[in-house]
Amino acid sequence: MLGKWLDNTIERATRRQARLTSRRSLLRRFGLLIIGAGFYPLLPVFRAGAFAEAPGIPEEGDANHCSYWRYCAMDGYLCGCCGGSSTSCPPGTVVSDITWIGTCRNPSDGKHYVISYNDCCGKGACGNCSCQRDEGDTPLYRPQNSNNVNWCAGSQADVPYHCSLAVVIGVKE
Amino acid sequence: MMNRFLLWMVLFVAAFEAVATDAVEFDYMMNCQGCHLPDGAGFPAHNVPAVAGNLGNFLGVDGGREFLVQVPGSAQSDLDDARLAAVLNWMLVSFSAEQLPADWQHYTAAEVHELRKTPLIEVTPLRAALMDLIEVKQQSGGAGR
Repeated sequence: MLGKWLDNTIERATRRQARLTSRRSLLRRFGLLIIGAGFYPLLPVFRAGAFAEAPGIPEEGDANHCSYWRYCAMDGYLCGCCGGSSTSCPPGTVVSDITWIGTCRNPSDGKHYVISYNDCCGKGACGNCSCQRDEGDTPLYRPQNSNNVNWCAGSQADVPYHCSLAVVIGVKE
Repeated sequence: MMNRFLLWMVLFVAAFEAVATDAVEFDYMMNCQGCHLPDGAGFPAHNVPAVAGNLGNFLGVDGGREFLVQVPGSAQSDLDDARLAAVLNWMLVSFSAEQLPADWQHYTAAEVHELRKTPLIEVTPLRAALMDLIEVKQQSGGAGR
């Protein structure tokens, strides 16, 4: 009973498939996929999230300008103006793993994102795009939330400070 | 055909929608992760103790359970007692489950509240003494559980 129903169903589906597709449609679609996959990364979209970040964060604003939403607690030079990006260190510098972490509100979706302000270290100060917004900054006697600390002291490259990143590492519920 | 296209678009967008960070992990990020790092590795070369593979050992020696609450990074954080207890429990399980004694008890808000009243003055020597106790215990064969 069940077997017969299964037979009929599959036969109908197979005949329908045979009626509706050409013999070479797989070749055609597969070719399209291969070419499409090659072209997809070339599309001109904003790719600040290309470095170790979850994709899908809605973006607006200029990542090389101090007014960009991620820089709400920034105190330093923007790495995007120093040969790197807002999420990757310029050549010749090392990222400081030990860092200042805070939240900024993303105007595109109104959510608060957790931002890691890792410093890039090992070269002298970059000097471009100085940015000091300091929202949520605390005095030095609460050092865990003070952005005035030279976080490069906690990096492999040690003290020389070059510029700062703003990497999204989480979203507040 | 158009419907199927829309369905795929919806699935595509849904898959990349930013997922809200777990509340306890959020507290860890905001209060601990800057120095102890996302995987709890810390930076021992620059005096940031490793949490991973180590934290649970403290619950196996006298004074260790109190220390984890009273250490300034815990006691002086902005977290209230309940959230600090939750973060400590989360860290113990996430970063150091193997070192936990078999009969360990979760921290409670009330316990954290009491312990926080007593600040630590000499943090570094106390930590060194606890690490010695942990080492002695491990060498005598009572490692971990």
